[in-house]
Amino acid sequence: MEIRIQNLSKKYKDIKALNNINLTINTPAMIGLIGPNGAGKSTLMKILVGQLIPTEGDVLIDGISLSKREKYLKERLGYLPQDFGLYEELRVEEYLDYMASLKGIKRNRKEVIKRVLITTNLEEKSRIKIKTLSGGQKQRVGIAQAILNSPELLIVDEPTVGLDPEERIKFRNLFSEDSIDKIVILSTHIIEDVESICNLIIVINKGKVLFIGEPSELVKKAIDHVGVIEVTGNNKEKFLERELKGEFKITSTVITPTGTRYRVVSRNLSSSFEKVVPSLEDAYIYCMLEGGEDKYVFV
Amino acid sequence: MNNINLLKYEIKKIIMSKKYFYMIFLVMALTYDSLTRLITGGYYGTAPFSEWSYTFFIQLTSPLVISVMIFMMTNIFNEKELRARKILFSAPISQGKYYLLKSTSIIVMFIITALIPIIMSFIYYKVLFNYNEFSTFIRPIALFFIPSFIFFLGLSMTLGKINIKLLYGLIPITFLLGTIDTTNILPQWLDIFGAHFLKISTFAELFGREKEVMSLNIPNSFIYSRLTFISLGILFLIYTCIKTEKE
Amino acid sequence: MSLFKNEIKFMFKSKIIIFLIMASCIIMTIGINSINMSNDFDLFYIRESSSTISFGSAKFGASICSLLFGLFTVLTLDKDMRKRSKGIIESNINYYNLMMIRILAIVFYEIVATLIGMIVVIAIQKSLYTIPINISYYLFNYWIVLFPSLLFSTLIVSGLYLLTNSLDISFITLGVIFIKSLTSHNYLLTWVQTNIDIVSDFVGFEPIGHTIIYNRILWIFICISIFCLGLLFKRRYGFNLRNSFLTNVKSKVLVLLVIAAILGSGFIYIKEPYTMELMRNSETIIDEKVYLNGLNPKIIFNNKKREMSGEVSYSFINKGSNLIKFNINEGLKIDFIKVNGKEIEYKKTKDESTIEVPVPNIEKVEITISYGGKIKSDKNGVGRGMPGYISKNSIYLLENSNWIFRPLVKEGDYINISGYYSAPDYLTMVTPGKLIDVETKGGTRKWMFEYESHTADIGAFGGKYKKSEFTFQNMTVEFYYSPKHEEYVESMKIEEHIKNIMKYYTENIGEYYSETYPLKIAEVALYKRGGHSSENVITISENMLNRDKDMYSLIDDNGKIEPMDISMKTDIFVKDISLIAHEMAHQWWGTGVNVVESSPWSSEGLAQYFSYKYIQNEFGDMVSNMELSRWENRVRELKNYYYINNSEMLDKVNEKYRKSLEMEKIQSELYYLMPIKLLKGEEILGEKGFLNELEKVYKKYLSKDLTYEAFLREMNLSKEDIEIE
Repeated sequence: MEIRIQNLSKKYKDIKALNNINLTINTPAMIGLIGPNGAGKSTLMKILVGQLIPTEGDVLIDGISLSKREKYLKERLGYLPQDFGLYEELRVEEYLDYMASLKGIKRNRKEVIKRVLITTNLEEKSRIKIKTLSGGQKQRVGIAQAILNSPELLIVDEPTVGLDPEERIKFRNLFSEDSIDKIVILSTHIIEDVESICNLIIVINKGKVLFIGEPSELVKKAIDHVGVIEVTGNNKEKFLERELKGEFKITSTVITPTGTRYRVVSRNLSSSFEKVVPSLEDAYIYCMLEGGEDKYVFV
Repeated sequence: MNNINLLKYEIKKIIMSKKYFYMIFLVMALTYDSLTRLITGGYYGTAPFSEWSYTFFIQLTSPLVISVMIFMMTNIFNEKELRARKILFSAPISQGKYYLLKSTSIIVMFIITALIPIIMSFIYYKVLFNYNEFSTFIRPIALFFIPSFIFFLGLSMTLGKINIKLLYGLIPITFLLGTIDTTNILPQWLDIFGAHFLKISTFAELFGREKEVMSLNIPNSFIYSRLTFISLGILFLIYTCIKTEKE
Repeated sequence: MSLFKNEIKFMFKSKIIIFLIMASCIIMTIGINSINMSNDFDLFYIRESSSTISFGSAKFGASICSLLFGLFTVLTLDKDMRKRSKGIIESNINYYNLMMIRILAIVFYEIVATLIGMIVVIAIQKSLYTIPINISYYLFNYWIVLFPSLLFSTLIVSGLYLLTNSLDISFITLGVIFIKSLTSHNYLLTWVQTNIDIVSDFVGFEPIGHTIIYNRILWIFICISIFCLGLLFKRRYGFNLRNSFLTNVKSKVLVLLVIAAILGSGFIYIKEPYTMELMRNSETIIDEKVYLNGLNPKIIFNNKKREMSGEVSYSFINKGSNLIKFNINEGLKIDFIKVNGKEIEYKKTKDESTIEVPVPNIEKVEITISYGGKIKSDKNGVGRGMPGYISKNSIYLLENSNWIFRPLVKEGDYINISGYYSAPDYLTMVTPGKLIDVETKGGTRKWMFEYESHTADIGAFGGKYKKSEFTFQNMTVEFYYSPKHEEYVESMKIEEHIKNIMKYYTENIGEYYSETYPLKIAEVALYKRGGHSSENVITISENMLNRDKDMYSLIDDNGKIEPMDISMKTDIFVKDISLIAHEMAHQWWGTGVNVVESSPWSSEGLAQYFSYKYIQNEFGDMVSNMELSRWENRVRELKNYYYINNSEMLDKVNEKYRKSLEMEKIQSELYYLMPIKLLKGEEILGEKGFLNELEKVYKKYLSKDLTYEAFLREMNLSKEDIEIE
């Protein structure tokens, strides 16, 4: 499958949620979509699943406009929105059966459901009413329905919210394994999730794509822009004032016996800092710093 | 096959709830009260099992049954369903088909719910009056129960899609239209439950009647008005299903 | 307090409440004309006044707005559940406190809606109708009728919501309770619209005001019960219904409140003090061995307290009985009963509506009963068919309220009645028989009267009356009516019609039966509709003397109407006149000649026939035929009633229904079938011949009993002759 996003813009009244986005994604891909709150991630995803109509531009699915291929897309789509509802009065297996029917799965529905239940570790809960499940379990039901039809395109918005660390790892791996023959788009705040599984990162802010590429590329950009410094008690206030002026951004603060150790990201790192190897998180912050002022876009 | 499966779950969702159970209880209570207190005496001196009495009975119970239906329809447009739709609409199902599915489930639920007063009345007639000719009641049901239901179904779907608050507003209006004598307040074309018509017919036919058994004369104009309500309901329904909304 | 203000502000911003208040005002405005929008033909074209406008708008408003506000309440309470914001709010404030505040805020807006609605309607009355405002009617109707129904709706639906935790169930249940109110005849259950159709312009709301207030008190208790029950089951700590109850039940205050409110409502319902089952309980079996030949009532009315007290002496001729039964009014308590001067013990029947007084088996028995209290009215007739009430500005006591305990004995040929009614001096009393003297002392006036009658059916009627008097030959009519309705009486030439009726009857039936006793016609409030004739006193309800100015154009200078122009107005006016003519005819048939009832034969048939003849004579055939066809319709219709034709099925219906059907049947025979039979007789004998024969019958049977057989014999007719198919 090929998804080509062309000059895509979306306006809500005066606010530009997406501003002229161009992207092409091909199978297989495991994409991490990251960006701060309100960056336009959810808007982009909703357009991709056909729930919103773009103000300008188009999305082409295998070369044909999404508006003409909605059914084609949805037959191949698995989607887990960020804040969703389930039919709580139904049992887990009933709900999945309902969704399977909606998705048009006709053959072996029972087996499909059973497989999905095992994958999402819900076999034991299959006969329990959804309203009695915990938040994390409901999240798993959400994931289960998304993979029911073995989608070619799996779009998941904050899928690991509410999951315990063990489950998070499990699902990360699940998505990653799935991405061998499909496109998985994972929107998240958690850089760690992206770092461990994604082979492509899209950083988005204020409706614009700031970066697209492999995680290592993003990290590479931030080399020489990340440093650490230890500040003693007396100089602390002066140091913090410098951050307020925008000289750098503190990404971590550790209290040591002799003072405070700060890790910073800066566009022009002064020599007083000890340069260190950037993490993906540092790189993301650096990307934000650069993109935030519209001076430089990595794309 | 899939569609029937979906419908099965839609109905199950409603029927299995305590709420529905309680509503059924209320419908039964009202039916019982209406039958024993108001129908036993017969409508305007006609037999309790006359078409007149049965029409009156339908008019006593239908506002409640239809209000219950509208309450069920609020579940198609409430916050919970809107949140569930985020997932549902990622499936290859069109909005039209979705609304059609929901409407069908309401229709099935209406049939089930409406059967309660109807069956209760049949039992009542059989036990108390040993009356079996239930085919007499088909016409009142077809003319006074079904058109108003289809109209309110369509109207509710359209209003609910615009804003659920309108749907809530429709409930007391339905109730009042069905229970308060609006003959001289509202124009005759708004006679959705047919109460206005029944009253005029009573004046015209039952006053000074010359036979004991008077059949309820249905003029064509009344049938046309019912057909209008049915078509309006269907038009509303089609409009709801066809008009897909996206931001 | 600040939370309360905040909620009010918050609701105001939601705009729905503004819409609701505006809708309420529109509904109340539509309600101004609600009487003419009903099917209550008697009340059509009633003159608009503060009483009708305020009551019509308030009642209509209550019927509709109670549901609207009920829905608004439940939507407001359910808001956080729907929006899933309950958790956040609960972490800041006790959620149920907030709910209470919200309910209070809704009540606040109900007060606002009532107030604005009232102002709007007052403004419309003042500007559009240019009718002076009587604020007391507005205050009563808006704050005792309208506002409580909104309040009850809110409290009931809130209680149900707390109980069920569900918007749908609570509102639908409210709907069912609403339907119950609309279809009930029991005034205690009509919490929405009250069971009054109209407030009297003549005597105001006093005769029924206390019943409405009592209904409101009962429903305050019921609402508190439902609401506190709701609080007892309010969901807490994520518990289900049962566990929440087990937690809440620890609050002793709440439990006590629930018990007190439920017991209170039950007590108020059962111990309702204003009504009784007058019709059902009255015993009617007459003791043939005892005759009544004297009655001496000395009654004092205390109108401010709505009470009466007095002593009534009865003289009997006893031919072998040792027990005399009296039908009583439950509201009147007996102080003592003396038989031939000696106080005795008496027995009350189980249902308290009859007493049994032991008497010695001697010929002359004199019983004196001293009693007093508040008259009870008929349970199903509150506001519509009240046979007796005493209020500040009026006294209306028909004999069938048993205000004078009614002995279940035969009536002698003549009963000597004498006594007095003592009432506040601002009231004019209309007494039976002849007024002998009036004494005024210390704010009260004693009206002494004397009457020789063949029945003991006396009433007492008092009000602020204007009196006019006119005579035709030996007959004097005293016409008592409200000065408020003088304009209508003059414009519609009501007095002329009364004179014409006197003339017509005198010429066609015979001389009025008495030179001593004038005919008294008194206007009364429409809490009992229509007319009534008790001895020489006729009452007619105020709707006949108080219609709209629009009616004035109906008649010409001679009081005649254009018969070609038959409209609803004509019909109403003719019905009014026909009713007066009917009641007046009873002076000839009923009071003059004692017509012995044996269905279909009774004085009613003759009264109907003569009122028909008068209308025919006065307004022509076209108008009188309308009346005739109504009779024919009613007779035909009743003949085709299912239960009348299938009386074996009557065991399916309850006794109350059976009795009312029986009553309907007899009524149709007496009032509609009999006059048709008489018209058939007229057809056989010719109009002139028939009337001549009737005149002879009247002369022969004056002051005597006339049976059906005797009548037919005298008229040379047989039952078969006047049989109707």
